[in-house]
Order: sequence, then structure tokens, then C-alpha cells
Amino acid sequence: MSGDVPPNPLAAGSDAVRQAPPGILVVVGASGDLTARKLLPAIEQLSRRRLLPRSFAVVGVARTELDDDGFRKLMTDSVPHAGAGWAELVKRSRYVTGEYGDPSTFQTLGKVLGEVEADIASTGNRTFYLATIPAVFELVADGLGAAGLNRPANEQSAVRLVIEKPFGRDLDSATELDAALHRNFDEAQIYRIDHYLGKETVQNVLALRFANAIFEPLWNRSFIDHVQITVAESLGVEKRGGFYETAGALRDIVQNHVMQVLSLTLMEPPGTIDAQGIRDEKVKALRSVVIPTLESVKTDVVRGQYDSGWSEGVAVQAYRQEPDVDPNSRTETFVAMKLMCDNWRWAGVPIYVRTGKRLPKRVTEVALQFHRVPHLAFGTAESQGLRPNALVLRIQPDEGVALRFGAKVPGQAFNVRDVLMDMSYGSAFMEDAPDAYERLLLDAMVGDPTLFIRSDEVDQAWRIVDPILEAWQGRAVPLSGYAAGTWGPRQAEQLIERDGRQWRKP
Amino acid sequence: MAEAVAVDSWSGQGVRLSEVVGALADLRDQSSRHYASARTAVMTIVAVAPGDEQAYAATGALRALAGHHPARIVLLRPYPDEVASLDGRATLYSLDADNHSVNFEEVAIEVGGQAANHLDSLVEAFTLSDLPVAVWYVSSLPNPSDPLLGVADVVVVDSRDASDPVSLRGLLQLARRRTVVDLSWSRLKTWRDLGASLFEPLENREWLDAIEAVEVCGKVGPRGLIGGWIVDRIGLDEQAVSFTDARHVSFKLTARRDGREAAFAVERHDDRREVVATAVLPGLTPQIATAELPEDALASSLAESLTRLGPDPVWEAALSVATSLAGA
Repeated sequence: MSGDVPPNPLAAGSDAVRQAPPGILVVVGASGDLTARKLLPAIEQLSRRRLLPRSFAVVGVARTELDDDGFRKLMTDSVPHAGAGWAELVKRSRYVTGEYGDPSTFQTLGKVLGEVEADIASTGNRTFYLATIPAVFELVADGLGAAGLNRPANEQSAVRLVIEKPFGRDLDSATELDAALHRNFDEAQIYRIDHYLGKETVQNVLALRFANAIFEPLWNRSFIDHVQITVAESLGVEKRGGFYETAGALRDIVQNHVMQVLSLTLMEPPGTIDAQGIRDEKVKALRSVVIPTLESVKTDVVRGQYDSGWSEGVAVQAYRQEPDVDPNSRTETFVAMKLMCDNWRWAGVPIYVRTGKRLPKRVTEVALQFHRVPHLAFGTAESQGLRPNALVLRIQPDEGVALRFGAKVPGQAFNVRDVLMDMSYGSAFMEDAPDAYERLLLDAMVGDPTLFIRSDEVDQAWRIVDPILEAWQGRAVPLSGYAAGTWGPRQAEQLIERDGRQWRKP
Repeated sequence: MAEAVAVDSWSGQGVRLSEVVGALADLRDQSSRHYASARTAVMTIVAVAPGDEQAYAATGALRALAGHHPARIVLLRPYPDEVASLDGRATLYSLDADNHSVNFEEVAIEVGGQAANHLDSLVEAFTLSDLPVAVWYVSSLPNPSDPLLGVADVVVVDSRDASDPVSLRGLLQLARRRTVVDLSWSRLKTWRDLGASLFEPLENREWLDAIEAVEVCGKVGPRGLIGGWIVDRIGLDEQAVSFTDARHVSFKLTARRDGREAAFAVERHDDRREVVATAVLPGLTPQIATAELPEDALASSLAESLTRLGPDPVWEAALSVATSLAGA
């Protein structure tokens, strides 16, 4: 609980303990795709699960000309099979049209918020969700500050600002963005969303490691040979060619999703599973990652771009032929890299990362491959194909945990083969896991920043990625093509084979 | 063993691959909720079977295999000369094997048009993470440039499908690049075991050095393998081997020493599911051994072939000599 309002003693012991406090969720960029596709369905789910109080409303802000009824229709249309409470929530919602650079937009917003708070008897909790393009984050934060909307109206209420990745384009711009946000908001008010952290399976990395006695003792260089992180998409850039041209796989996936998963995998056990305990340890883990150099980028990082090919039985075009993409683009759609971590736990254990678009399947996983047994007593023929043990955390799809180990094939001979002990979340827990946005929205409104990214985490992630971006500025590091529907360029294979290892088949 | 029973199924015509993937995930999810059944697999088996008859035989064998090698089955039926389309079916099966329940999934994809030449792009969405992928070419030997081979950890073939010596050469080249298991070689195990057993007694083994002629009957692939195996294992001159076309495999070794002759034969008669091995040595009563053949030869040879997933140097050497014997 945030401590904003006194806890409800009658709710003790029930799910309602994590009910959002009375307040308003202000969605800036309310007419956009993210709002309709992710935020409104997530709010409806929270409402359906009775995790929103009656004293709750949504206020939309955007440049698109809409009135209150137009926004209410958008809310209704975005959730076609809404639960009973949704219509009531929609009725209480309001909309403000305006340019983000125009102070009157935020003055009008302030007035509307006052009216809504009076209507719903809210104590003044306000969560501002910036579902806009990053270029206007600073403008909106300044507008909110200038209108006095950045500070709570009283000691019992809270004002929070939620922003979506990307947090800058490099370390310098991230630092500038932070400085701009901090002009109007304290760090404790800022909730940086990486929706990966809202996924149950990402959170389960913590549960697996720190709620079980059998894994953590093995979670170190003495037992683990190497780590592989794969974030693969079978889709191309679809309609996001314009955006992707400015981002690329390194900024779009590695700097945020991969670094978050990496830090949860490498971190030391926190003293307590709370926001400070976890985020402190994540930052420490990221600080231990060896910062690439221009020379190491040449050998340890591969960038690729998909050519035409076949994906899921369909002939697909090359990246450079996608809409809104420069025909001579040098934007990477694939990155493979080898990272090292200089600390007591992980020294000498390579971490291989692979991410890309138009790969053969959609899959995100972390695999810890253990050392080989010191001596294989079985004959070569009997143990052909037997690989070292691996613990695989499947983040999506088919979320779960799998352990690969050798087992005897039934029969007279002593043939040994890999088998998989496979725990599927869908089978183990019958209840549907909340969507990542549902979880994170509630956390933001409750005031729990555990699954949000702190400023120093963003900085540290950029410190790892920045030298790669710099190295790529020139032509020293080639951009390799790969056929759509394959696991990336040949150079990615060579990157890991050079160390006597192979990429997994996820 | 009981037959596999379909627990739940989905099918769609003119669909996208992602719909089949989604349907399979939904079936698994629903099945887990209703039956809370554990599902374990040791591999993904991809079977490429263009014709109805081959597909029927392949699925029958693969479903029977579940008791021994529980696997996700992906049946591909390519029709490159037909209009572009994709029909899919996903089925969950349950099999009662030795008093325990084995659950597995089968996905069948019929694909028409150009995509039929890019089956690799259809398969990986269904392969089980971290487990070997066996690609079985039912009723034909693979084209060495088939991109589907790139997905395979193990390629399953049947050298009985070799129509000529050149195709055996292609198989040998494939085996040098990938692990290949040959169903014919597994089926011929009975012949090989009986043939070896003929030379277990010391008095018989002495005749090994005196073998002068080897007659092998059968189809191109199996007879070539047997001929190649014998030549390779006992260091015989290739000229000593002669081949005859026949429905079933049989072989006869003739040895001469000091003006005396001994004959060793392993034969299967058309009307019986058994193989008979005979050794006729001068002055001795003929020695006879028999072995019954399994009722479901395809399923059992598949199970045998997939028990070891590494290269088989004895088979490779036999194949190498077979191509030489055939002048390929």
C-alpha cells in the first residue's frame, strides 16, 4: 500500500488490499493506439476484478479533437466485451483537447480534474500516464509543472508520472530527459514502464531464484557454463517502419527488455523483495557488466538486417522494402552479442544475447547452461546427443520453466538421452495471469515502484549500449544480411561457435 | 499396446500458420485445465508425406511410437503445384502405454503453392524447445538442397526408397553433413544379427576368410547396404558381390577352402514373417536359426532408429561401399 489513504480494515486479508486508492488516471495521448490497444483494456480488467474503487475516473488528454462523449465512445469501442462496471466508469470519464505545448491545455486539465474529483469524492490522487511519443515527454512534464499539476494537493494524496520506453536514444539524451522530468517531478514520482517487467514470468525469475533452495546454490560460475538470452520475433516491422528506422533492435529491445531480464538473472539476492531492495541489486548487477569497447564490439557484437525470405509459410519482403523504411537503411533488425560480468558470482561466464525480427519463431527465454559432467562414464555411442543440463525460463509464449537433463532410454542397452522436465504456468496455475499493463497500472496507482525502472538503471543500461551505438556510427562493424525466417546472419553463429558453444534452438 | 485416442482437435482451411499455432496453444491450455495431465516429450518429429497412403502409414507409425518416444508430431503434406493455401489440423492424443498415460500433440499441415518448397518456414513454430528435431522423409529420399534439412538434428530416411545408385550417393553425401538414420538399416537388423550369428561358432568363423562370392537379393537400397556391410566388415573384394532384384532381402555367402565349400544364407520367404539363417558346412548337419519379424515393421523400425540419435559409422561405411558397388 502507498500510505496515501488509511487502509480499509474490512478489506484485510482479501484481494482488495491491493485495490487502487480513490483517484484519477490521466492518460495523455488518449486518442492513440497504445491507449485503445493496451491501456483501456487493462483498466477494464482492473475494473472487472474489482481492483478499482468507485471513486475512480479516467481523464483523457490529446491533440485529437474529441468531446467527452467522443472519448467515452472510444473507451466503449476499445473494450468490446466489457464487464458490468465498465459502463459506469466510462460515464465518469472526461476528455481534454489541446496542444501539449499550449499552457491552456493543462490549465483546462486542472479545472476538469477538480470537477471530476468533486464528482467522485477523490482525495486528490492523480496518476499521469504519458501514452505519447517520447518527443513530447518533456513538453508534457513542463506543462503539468507550469499548471501546478505536478504536486499533490494535500498530504493524503499522491501525484505520479508514468512514462513508456524509450527513455532517450543514448546516455546523453536519457540524462537530458531525466533532468527535464526532474525539473517538475521527484524521482519517487516517476514510474518508467518496461512492460516486460509486468509479465508474470519475468517476475517469476525472482520467485524461482529466491523462493527455492535448490536453484540459487547453483546460480554461479561454479556450475553455470554460460547464459543465453533470446528475444525473437517472427514478425517484421509491420506498420512501424518509421519508428523502427529511428530505433533498431539495440535500442528497441536490448537497452530495455534484455537489460531488465539480464539484471534479474544476474542480481544478488536482495535483503527484501521490495522496490529498493530489488532495484538496488539490479543496478549493481548492471554495473558489473563489462562495458564494451570499440575493439570488443567488432568481435563480440553482430548486427544484422533481414532480407527477403519465407516466414511461417509466407514469402516476405526485405526490411529495406518495408513501408516507411529507407531503401538504403542501415538500421539493424538483429543483434547478437556476448557480454561478460565482472563480479565474484559471474566472472568468466559469457552471456550471449540474441534478438531480432523475422526470426523463425516468437520466443523469449533465458537459458542457463550448466557445465558438462567432469567425466561421462557412458560410452560415446550410448550418450550421443546428450548435452549439458540447462535451466530454461520461458518468458513467452507458453510461459514456464524447463530443466533439461539426461535420462536412460527404456530398453536393454544403456542409451542416455536429453529429456525435458517442463513446468507450464498454464497447467500449474488455473487462474489467468494479469496482463502486464494491468499489473503495472495498478502498481503505479497503488504507488508500488518495484516493477518500474529507476533512473540509475536506465543510465547503466545506456552505459552498456552506448559504446555499441558509437562503434556502429562508422563502417568498422559490418551490417550483415540474413534471410527472413532464419536465426540471423552466419556471423552470429560464428560469435558463439568461436567459444566452442552453440545457440540453443528455443 | 492400445491405440492413441484423440482427446481434442481443431482444424481450419485456408488459414494462416499463426492460427494453427494459436489453436494448438489453446488446445494444450484447455486440456491442462480439464485433465491436469502432464505432457512430456523427448523430441519433435516432422514427417513429410505428400500422398494419402504415405501420410496414413506415417501417422499410424508415429502415434504408435508415442509409448516409446513421446514426441510432438508435425505432419507436412506439400503440394507445390497446386494453388497457394494452408490447411491445418491440431489434435491432442492420449495413449495408454504400460499402465501410464502418454499425451502428445499432432499437427498436420497441408500446404499448396510456393510455400510447399519452403517447409522450413512452417516447422519451427511447432518445434519443442531444447529437444531434438527429427525430420522423416516418408517414401522419398530428400533433395540435398531442401531447406527443411536445416531444421533437422536427425534426418530419418528409408534407403528402400532409393530408386537408383545415384540416389544412394546423394544419401551418403547427406550423411556426411547431418546425422541420418535409415529405417531400412533398422529393419535389416534382423538379417544382420542372424548373419553375424552364423559365424559365432568358432568352426564357422574360420570360413570367413574363405568367402569368395556374395549374392544379395532385394531392392536397390537394402541390398546395397547388405552388400556394402559384408564387404566392409570382412574386407572382401568388391568383385565378389552380385546383386539380384527381389521383393525381400536375402543374401548368401559362399566360401571355398581346400577344395571344400561352405554356404551361409539369410533369407526371408515371401509368405512368412520370419527370417531364416542357414549354415551348411561340409560333413556337418546344416545349422538353422530363425527370427520373427515384428507385426508393425514401420513403427518398430522407427522406434529402433530413434533410440540413438547420433551417427552410425557401421551404416555409413556400408552405404559408402554400397555406392561404390553400384558404380554410383
